[in-house]
Amino acid sequence: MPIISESVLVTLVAALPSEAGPLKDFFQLKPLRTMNNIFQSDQGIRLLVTGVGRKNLNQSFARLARSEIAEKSPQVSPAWLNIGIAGHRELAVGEMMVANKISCAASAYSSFPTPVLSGRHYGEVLTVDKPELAYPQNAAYDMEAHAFWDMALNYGMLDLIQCCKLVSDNPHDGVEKIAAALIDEIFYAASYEIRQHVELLRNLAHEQQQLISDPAPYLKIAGRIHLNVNQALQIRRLCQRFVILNRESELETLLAKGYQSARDLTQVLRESLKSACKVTEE
Amino acid sequence: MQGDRRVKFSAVYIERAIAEHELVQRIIARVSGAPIITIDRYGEVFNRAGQNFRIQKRAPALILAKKHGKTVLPSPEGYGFEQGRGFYFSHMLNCLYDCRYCFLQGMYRSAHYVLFVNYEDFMAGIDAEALNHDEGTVFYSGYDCDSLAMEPISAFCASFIPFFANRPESILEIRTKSTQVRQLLDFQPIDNCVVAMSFTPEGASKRWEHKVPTLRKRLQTMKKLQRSGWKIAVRFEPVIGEAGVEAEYERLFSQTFSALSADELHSVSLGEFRLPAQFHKNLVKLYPDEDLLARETVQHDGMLSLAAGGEALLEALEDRLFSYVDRSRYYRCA
Repeated sequence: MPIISESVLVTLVAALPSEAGPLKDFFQLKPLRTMNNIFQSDQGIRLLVTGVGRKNLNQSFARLARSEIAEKSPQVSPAWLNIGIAGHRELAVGEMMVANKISCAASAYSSFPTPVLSGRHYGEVLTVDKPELAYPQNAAYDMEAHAFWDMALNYGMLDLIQCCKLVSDNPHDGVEKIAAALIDEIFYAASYEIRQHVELLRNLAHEQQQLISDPAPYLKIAGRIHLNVNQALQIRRLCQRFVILNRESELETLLAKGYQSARDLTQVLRESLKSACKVTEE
Repeated sequence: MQGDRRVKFSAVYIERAIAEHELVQRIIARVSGAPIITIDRYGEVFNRAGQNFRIQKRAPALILAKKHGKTVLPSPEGYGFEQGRGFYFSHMLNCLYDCRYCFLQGMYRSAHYVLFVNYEDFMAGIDAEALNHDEGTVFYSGYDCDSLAMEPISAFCASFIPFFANRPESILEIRTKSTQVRQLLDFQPIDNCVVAMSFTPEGASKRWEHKVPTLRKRLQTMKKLQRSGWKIAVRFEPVIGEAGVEAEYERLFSQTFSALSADELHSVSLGEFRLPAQFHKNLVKLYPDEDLLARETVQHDGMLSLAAGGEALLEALEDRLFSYVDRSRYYRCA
């Protein structure tokens, strides 16, 4: 059984280099040596720049997966945030919208991110294959969100897969006005909200990771005795129970006896937990 | 929730098919501010694999849906006091409160609240079962939710009290931990409705019953109901066996029966902390850091209970309880 690291990543996913620029700045992200479209900080934030459209996004995720396999050190990223520009019929340029529904125009399939992030605007993101100029629905039009949702589900926790869009165009300010400088301006204006979203996701991811982290006594045992998967799971939970029930010193005493067989150790730990569980009236 | 009676939802999902339902329209008017999201079926949000109950419980959403299929089901053996045929119905799934021992956390994949708004179908189901059984019927509400806690939104009492008032041959038992009884008190008490409140000792309640009104407030509420002529019942459950628990229950019994008239109680019950083994497993996954779930358990017929509880403890508590309340009003919850 792998030993679970306590460090977690929040992975940001953006399509355009001009969206990536401000994000790199906000979170002090540095390029990874092996991949030219991945940037990472030592504070647990990673950025994947995918290129425009569903196909590019899928390919970027596939390359990320291959590189992690090649490095043999997959990093745990329970939280994923798709952030990027989108067109909207009603919202003003620069407004941020948190997605509570992500639909694919091609398949008419919808997904529903858990309402975790707070914002001023919430709504549907509709993923289209070419820029939408007529804005027929009251939704944010983008070109990646739905593919992002599908891909991120393979890596992250459903409740921590989120999407927010910054409005770059609407019926009054059309797509022709979109330029790197405008994107920069929009992202910097939303920097506080973006940081808040990332911070919240990082905290939630960290809390979840803490819950599944291996208890220290278990790590000692795993370093000393060969455990198969089933034994590892059992001993891990038994150690966890000793810790939660404030019986760590008792556990230490038992471990000091130097059991070499996983079966014997499991038995001893079980018996010990069984003792002193009957109600004693004061 | 206790201070501010307006319940907040992180979002409101509405099934397309019931968007125009009268209750939906009324609820939308009450939850202004929450994002509203149209869905096809509640299962596409509520039943998805991979959801985390613990994360969602921080800010649950409300899902307004239509209950399809059977709306009324036979209640488990030993669920209630009454002798008639027992049934339960769940107009809601999940609860506003966050009790660490609650089986709902192990049963559902999502912590969002589902409110089935087609009360008319529940009522038809109740009528059908009542017609099928001459010996009298009891209908339990609050098996998969707290029936009163969301009254301002659900209008449960507003709908079902008048309904049962016209069906004196059937009994409605409302299970709750809520102090939300304003609506009930606005009605004339009806003889065939019992409000059953669950209690654990104060220490246990503070430790495990998050967001539940205090013991004092709940006792005051029950007293108010009793004085107004409503039939009330007390459910001392779940009993969580641990050192000092008998003394804790002695105190709880004393607090309860100094506030309520034991002779006028509809019924009193005791029930152990127990739940299906698979639900316990799911709870441990969600709360591996919870002391209650790390304790030694015993398993009988697929049900887990605490090793520190058991028959001897329940008998000891029953002995103490019978010094306050007549045995004829008592049953042990199976």
